[in-house]
Amino acid sequence: MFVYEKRLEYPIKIKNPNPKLAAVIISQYGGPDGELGASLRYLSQRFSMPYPELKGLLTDIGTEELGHLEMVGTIVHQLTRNLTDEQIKTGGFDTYFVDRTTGVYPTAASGFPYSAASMACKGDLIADLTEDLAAEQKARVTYDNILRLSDDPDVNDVIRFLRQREIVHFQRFGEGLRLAKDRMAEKNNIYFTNPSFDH
Amino acid sequence: MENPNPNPSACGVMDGSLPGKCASMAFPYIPVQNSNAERYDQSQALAAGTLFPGLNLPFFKAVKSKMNCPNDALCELMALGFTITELGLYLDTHQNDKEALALYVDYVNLAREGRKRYEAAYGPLQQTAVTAAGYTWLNDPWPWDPMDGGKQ
Repeated sequence: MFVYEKRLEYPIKIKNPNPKLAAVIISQYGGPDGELGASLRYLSQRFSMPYPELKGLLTDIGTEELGHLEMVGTIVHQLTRNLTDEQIKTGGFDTYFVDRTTGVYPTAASGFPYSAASMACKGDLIADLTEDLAAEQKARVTYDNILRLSDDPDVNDVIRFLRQREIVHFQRFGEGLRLAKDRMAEKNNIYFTNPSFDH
Repeated sequence: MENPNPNPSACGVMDGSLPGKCASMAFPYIPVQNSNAERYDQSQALAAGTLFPGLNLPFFKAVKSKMNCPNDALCELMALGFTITELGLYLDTHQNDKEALALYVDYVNLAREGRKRYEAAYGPLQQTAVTAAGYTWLNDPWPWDPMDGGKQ
């Protein structure tokens, strides 16, 4: 069960519209390493996790990622408000605008719509947690790249926060792997095969 | 999990060497955070994006970027809510850390008060928070509306 809370996790107050920047940041909404994929990945993987620490960790990080999805959508929305005709045409935003106007649509910046092919749910705790470590690093790099492309301090402040969360999540998934390994070692599962089937 | 062994060449046939330790090969290793890790206070934590200075690893271009949040009921609630989220993830992998659990309970109680102050000033956080003023859930602004990041 999910309950909506009418606030963001982190404050977002963007003073200046910038459709060109929005057309880049949309990738963290629906791109290959974006927040939609992150939340779906963790909230889906948790069903096949064998240990309570991992069920909790994936539920809690997946839930925080839904909050980040809302934050990225908010950035895009605030960057694309009250656009002039000139901004729509020359901002590098025209190819997005022609299809979506200023709606917030889950797509990669390249124009490829959100695809579940960019995430995995293998049903094996070692494979899935290792995927999660990689996913956090890929999202962190995307935020690094956004910071390289953006000169707007109002945007960079929020991107910096989201980037830092990827680092903390990476640490927690690493700890989750260690806990999982201890649990499997207790059962003499030395090759770390899926404890849901083989032990 | 790892076996203390200062001499890596003495590790078992299935082990490789971590610094000062032997550990299983073909398995990724992230060090587990220590239970007495240094912490920020809640507003510093929100501004940094983590409660823990040891995990604060900023991108060079964003080192000087500053949080834009006045000292109001919304920012107070965001800081408390964020610290609860962060400590909750920590407890998922450190469930026996009694000091962190006590801190978690303290922040949950502080946030309960913070929610009351916020809702009295700005309106409901959840749909069910109906007051004498009626069904104010639909009142603008919404969190994504420009320039306020919530209500002001």
